[in-house]
Amino acid sequence: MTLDLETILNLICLTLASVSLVGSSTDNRDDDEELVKRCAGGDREAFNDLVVKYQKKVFSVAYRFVGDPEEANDLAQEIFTAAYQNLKSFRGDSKFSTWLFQIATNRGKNRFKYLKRRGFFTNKGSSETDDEGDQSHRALPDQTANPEELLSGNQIRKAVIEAINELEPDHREIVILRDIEGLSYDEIARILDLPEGTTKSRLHRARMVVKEKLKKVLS
Amino acid sequence: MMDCERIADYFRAVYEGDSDAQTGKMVKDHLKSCAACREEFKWYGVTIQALANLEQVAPPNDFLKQLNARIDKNSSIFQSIISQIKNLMNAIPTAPVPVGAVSLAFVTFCAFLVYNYTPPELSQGGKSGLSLNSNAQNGAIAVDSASRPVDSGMVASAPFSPQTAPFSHAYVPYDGPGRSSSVAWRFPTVADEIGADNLTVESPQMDLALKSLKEILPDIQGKLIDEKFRNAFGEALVGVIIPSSRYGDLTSALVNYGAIEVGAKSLESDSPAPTKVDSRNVRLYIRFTQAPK
Repeated sequence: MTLDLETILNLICLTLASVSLVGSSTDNRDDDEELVKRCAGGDREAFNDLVVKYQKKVFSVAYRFVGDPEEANDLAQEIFTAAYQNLKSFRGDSKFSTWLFQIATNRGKNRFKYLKRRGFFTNKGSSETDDEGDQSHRALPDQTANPEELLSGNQIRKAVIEAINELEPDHREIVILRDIEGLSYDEIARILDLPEGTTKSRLHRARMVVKEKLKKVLS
Repeated sequence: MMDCERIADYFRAVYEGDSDAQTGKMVKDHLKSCAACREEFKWYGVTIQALANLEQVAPPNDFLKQLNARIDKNSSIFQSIISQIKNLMNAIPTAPVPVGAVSLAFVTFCAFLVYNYTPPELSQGGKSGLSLNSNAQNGAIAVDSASRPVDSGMVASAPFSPQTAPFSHAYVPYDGPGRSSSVAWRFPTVADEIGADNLTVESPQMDLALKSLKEILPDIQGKLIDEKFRNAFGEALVGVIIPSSRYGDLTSALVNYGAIEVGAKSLESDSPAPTKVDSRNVRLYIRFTQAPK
């Protein structure tokens, strides 16, 4: 009887282990594999399906890099166009979404550097300040206010955007991917081709920079 | 207990629950006892939440339509370039020769042409040239004025010899003796470099011929403007300016002086027109070459 119980327990353990393995292999499987294959074969509808699936995420990443709807639209289209043109060279070593975000991150970073060199963010920041400068000065919070209470205000959104705009490109991209878009560390590490530890430490440094800027503006 | 400087390094791990139990406990203990670090940790959390709470953005409704239009436009431009290249390659009989090899061959060919380019004034020399061949003894110069047809070459009565070997390598179509209609390779001489309107005087005694010329010049109101000797090649070059009306006199005077023996043909009838300096004077270059004795 004891032996039977032990056998049953062993069987249960083996079953759980195999289920776990199947589950993990399912996680690694690329949901877009079929669409990507069709797309590489020239199926435009398949590509459109991929665009519909990822356009919001890609546009959001683009917007966080450039901070302007029109620029973001142009950048997002550039990202998808690059993906379409290079899809045949996609070997499937990683998920399609990872590959797409790699393109998005690289293009976004390049566009950010390009715009920054031309003072795009400086001009944009000053014009926004001009528009609502007086109001934001009046809306400065009481220094004794609890930081959590600040989250509900519109002012913190501007402060955060300004803080992001001032970040170095490497810090900016990691903050966008993790804290704004909510990607996992594993996925970010693959996209940025960094060790996971480096990804975490770089994110921490980026957050500390944003934190200091927020404190400076809001306190 | 951890000090305040180090505690911030663990904010991420503690906030995300990513630290081991021991570290987490130490950080939390420190935060309980340190108001400044507790405040910093709060701001750290506020920062993360503020980033996560940024407003959601969405692409325009016609994003897919815009994108497809853009891809089609890019594809058409790309296809156009590809088709142009294909057409170009099809037009080349030797296709599919690599474009690089074709380009290299073309550039080499162009370089060869430029390297061997002969200015037009040089190639016109034959039409206006006058050749005086001295067959006489004692430095006398026999006139062989345009006695051979020279259609497209420099005046060059003397066939190539090592003594007249040049220092440059220009291509000069040359009608050598007995080869009136053919084109041959010949190294250029000083006279070739100067251009048209020259007389070539071949003399077994070049010094005597030169002296004759210099004595004639004052009589015909001419003057010497240039004189070059290239002893290594046995030739001399003399530039003169004479009244255009005295051009025939020059050759006649040379004959009269006794330096020239008149050939079968008339000097006057076959004399070319030298370069006009102005309405009255002409410039003439005369090349003296050492004829074999």
